[in-house]
Amino acid sequence: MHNMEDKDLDKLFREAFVEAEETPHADTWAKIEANLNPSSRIKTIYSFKNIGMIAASFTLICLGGYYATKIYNTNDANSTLKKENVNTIVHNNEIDSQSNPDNSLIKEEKGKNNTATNLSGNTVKFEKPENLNIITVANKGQKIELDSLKEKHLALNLTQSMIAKKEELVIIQVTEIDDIKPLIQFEDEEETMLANTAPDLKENKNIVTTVLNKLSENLDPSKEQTVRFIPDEEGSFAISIINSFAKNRNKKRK
Amino acid sequence: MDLDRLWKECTLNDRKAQEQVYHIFSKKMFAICTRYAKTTLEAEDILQNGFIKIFTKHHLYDGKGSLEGWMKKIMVNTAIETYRKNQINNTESIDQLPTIQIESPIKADQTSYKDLLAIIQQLPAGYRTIFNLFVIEGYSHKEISELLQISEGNSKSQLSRARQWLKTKLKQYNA
Repeated sequence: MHNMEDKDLDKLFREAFVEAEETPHADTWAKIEANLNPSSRIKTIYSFKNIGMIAASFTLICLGGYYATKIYNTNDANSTLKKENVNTIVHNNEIDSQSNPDNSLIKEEKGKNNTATNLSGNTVKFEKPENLNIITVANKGQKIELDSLKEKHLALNLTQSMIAKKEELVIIQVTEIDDIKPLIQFEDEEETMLANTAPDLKENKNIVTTVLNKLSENLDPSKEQTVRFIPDEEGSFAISIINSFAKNRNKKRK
Repeated sequence: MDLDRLWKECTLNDRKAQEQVYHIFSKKMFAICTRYAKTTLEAEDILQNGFIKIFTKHHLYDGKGSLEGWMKKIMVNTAIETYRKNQINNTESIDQLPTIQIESPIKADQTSYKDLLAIIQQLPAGYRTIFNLFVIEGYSHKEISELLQISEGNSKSQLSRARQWLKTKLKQYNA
């Protein structure tokens, strides 16, 4: 093996391996056949692993649907109060100025159905529809969300005027949208060339404009003051040319 | 037995015909697999996957050349696929190979197949694959570079290192 050349080495291994044979394991064909059979694919589908994955996916879908439904129902109940429910409360509401003299916030005591205690400590009774779970009451802009009597403390802000004027309790949240107005309103005018009239000198005076106006008067000793300096809101000043050469045609405003 | 008729039945998914073809070629194919694999278990995996491909992609054999030659190519390609999949784990260095345990002294005139197989299985997967492809299968360095997605220079250098290592081992155990 000393100084074996590459070709000798290659020849050695080639002659040993070219026609070599090795006996595989006895169950090798069975494994190959199992992979070739279509039923093995079906078995694969119904393997424990796949069943587990399918079950997990199904569970996740159900949970997602349940929570989505729950959120939807909560939002729906928290929506604007229905008129019927409010009227029911109003009609059944026995709270009046006598039972609730201060008409202050009313809290419901737990465990006592249809009763409430106002901040003064007086117990008042009222009836509420049984099917009313979540109520949204809007009182002149103040929105209070109520839950069922058993679950949360009920907070109501009732005043004498609200009890007397039942329709005020019936508040439907409406969002008024003004008509779309153009950004720029163009007045129908004939051709004009604007010229400023004499500004009101009493307004918006400061030292700079006063000095500049004085200079203007001295520069142009004419009777009429033609150039005036007016401070504006941004801290600078505007130059007004009064009674300029421009023709001031009559504006016909429609 | 007419091999062509048998193969035709295999293409029709005749399980008995396929089993007969398997038994005819399994030993030669398994010898190929053991040359590329590090362990017997790995060789059996290559053999199974190779035959599954042979029977499912029978339409790729166009009848040109021998059926055995086509099957050998399928086996070699399956072995290379296995090598690529395991390439991440093949980080062993040629200098860190353990001492080979062989049953008898290796001599030029008495070199047994088993001994040489034991020696070549100790090579790192990359060197072993290139050595097998070039020396035993007869692939060129250009073909090897395309198969393994390496450069021709890389293929040549790895083959050179594999040869040097094999010479050293043969020399040691014949001293």
